[in-house]
Amino acid sequence: MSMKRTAYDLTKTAMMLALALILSIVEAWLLPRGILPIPGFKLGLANVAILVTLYSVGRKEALAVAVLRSVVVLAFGGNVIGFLFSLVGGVSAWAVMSLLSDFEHISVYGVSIAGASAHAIGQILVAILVTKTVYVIGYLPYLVLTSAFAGAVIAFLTIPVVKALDHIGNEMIQ
Amino acid sequence: MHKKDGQFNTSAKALPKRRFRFCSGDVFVTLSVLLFCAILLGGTWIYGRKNKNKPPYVRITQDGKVLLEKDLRDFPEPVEYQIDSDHGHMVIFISSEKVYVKESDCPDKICMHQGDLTSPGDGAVCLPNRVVIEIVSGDDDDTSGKVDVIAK
Repeated sequence: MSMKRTAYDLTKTAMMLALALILSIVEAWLLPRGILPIPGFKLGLANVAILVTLYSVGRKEALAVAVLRSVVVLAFGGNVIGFLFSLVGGVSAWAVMSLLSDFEHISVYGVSIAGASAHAIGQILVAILVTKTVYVIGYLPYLVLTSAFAGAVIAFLTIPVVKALDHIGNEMIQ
Repeated sequence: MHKKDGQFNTSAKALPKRRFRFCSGDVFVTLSVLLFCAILLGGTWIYGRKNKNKPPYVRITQDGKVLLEKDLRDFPEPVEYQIDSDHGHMVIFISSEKVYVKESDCPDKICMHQGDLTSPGDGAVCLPNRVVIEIVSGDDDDTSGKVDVIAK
């Protein structure tokens, strides 16, 4: 039984990593070039995968998805700045989401909105470090607002996935 | 079997409770995010207002070093400012009316899409070249790093 569970956890994590990779690529297609003022900035569609992993496998695995997706995108021809953006953004989002998911009165929506905001702030910090000027901070309010909205949408998308995975798990165990 | 509230717990570890409806804490989270943005926006707005009547300066920074910081009125004749570094090549058009990135060899050209920079607060960022171009207000406290190298 426990081996069945471990295998199922591993499968879910691997599936979510694959989903995160696809979403990282798809997001670049969805948003027209130049609509966001900072090159390489992402709204964090791949947060769906991190959030699903957090809710249906666990914290450590969610961190693994956040880190590995950046590494794999870099390995498949990403650039170093893009890698730093997604790594710092993803890990900040994970930290905030795994912390807030423990709070009694915060649902997936609050967790996702806060995570998306942290994702934006993390990326701006990287942009400040790369350009070594604080100028880019002027974009922060707009990018956080856009990301927070995206975060609400992401929560909406996450819920059916977590429910479906629960359902499959329950059937498997019977 | 761990089947509490329809929750399938795959292992002994505690997973977050499945809360799928908007709760009171979410309102708090959303308001905090909005407040954070409002404070930042307010700050930029006040800063912009305070410096409204000061002359616009163009400031070009690469890797945190100020390459050029000059009053826009010093450019009666338009100038094409060239930046060549290990990161790449850029040409920035500067006139007393506007500043824009004319050429850049970066892959996504987002700096070029930013268009004309005309008043304080406007700016363009080119991450691959580590270059930030901004219009700032004159008599800024940061005049120590003024370097005037105009390569034509």
